[in-house]
Amino acid sequence: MFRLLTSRIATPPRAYGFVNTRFMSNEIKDAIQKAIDSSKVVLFMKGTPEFPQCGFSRATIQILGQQGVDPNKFAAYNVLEDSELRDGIKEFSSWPTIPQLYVDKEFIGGCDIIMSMAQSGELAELLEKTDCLVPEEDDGELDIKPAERG
Amino acid sequence: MPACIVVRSHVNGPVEEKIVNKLLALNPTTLKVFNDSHKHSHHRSMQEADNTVESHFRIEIVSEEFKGKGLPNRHRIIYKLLDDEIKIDKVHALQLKTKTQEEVERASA
Repeated sequence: MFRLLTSRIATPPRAYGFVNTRFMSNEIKDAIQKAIDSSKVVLFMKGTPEFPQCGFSRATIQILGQQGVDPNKFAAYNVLEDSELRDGIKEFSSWPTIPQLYVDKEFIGGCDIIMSMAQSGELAELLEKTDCLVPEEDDGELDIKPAERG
Repeated sequence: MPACIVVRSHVNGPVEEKIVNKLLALNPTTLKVFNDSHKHSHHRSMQEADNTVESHFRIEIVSEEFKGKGLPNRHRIIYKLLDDEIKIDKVHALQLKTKTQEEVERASA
């Protein structure tokens, strides 16, 4: 906490900057770290996966679903339910907007980055490498069978 | 310095003006700023917001400053430059496409 404050104050204060600047308590920081550690794929979003409250959060959830992220390895946190989390996560990640995705405790990015990584195939690669996808043998339970390959 | 193509939105408001001026610091070869605020004015968190006409921007920027940097750091550069616009002018969301000239040429090849 103290180190964070000194490093922030060492940069010249701007005329109005402090009005909006709040410093995160250790408690919030620990809670955020715990949230990030709670699952392999962690999304800080507005609303819930079932009822996203923002188009960017909705798009991100859709992409994660399309990629086949294992629901058992996924956790979402609704920042609208907790204003301390909402402000804290922005400072924690040095990222001013929501949603924010973490995979394997690493910050990946917001909606645009996730979308662009999905298009390039990088996201699939990352999720595969970090073992975040639904295991293939579990597909047998589903009623939709893949088409036969010729 | 290479010539810069700047495309501005038809709304052309004061916040957009500031955004464009700040992003020119990255010596972009292309800078396109679209004001998408009208698409989001119905959205929940915009209902009590003071700024609904210049709240959402889509930015496409090509700059050599992005060379060798991953996407999160490219976006952080932009967020840092536009810190006042986000915190004071209450810009709510930025959609960012950040590329280098080389990446643009590779994509269109």
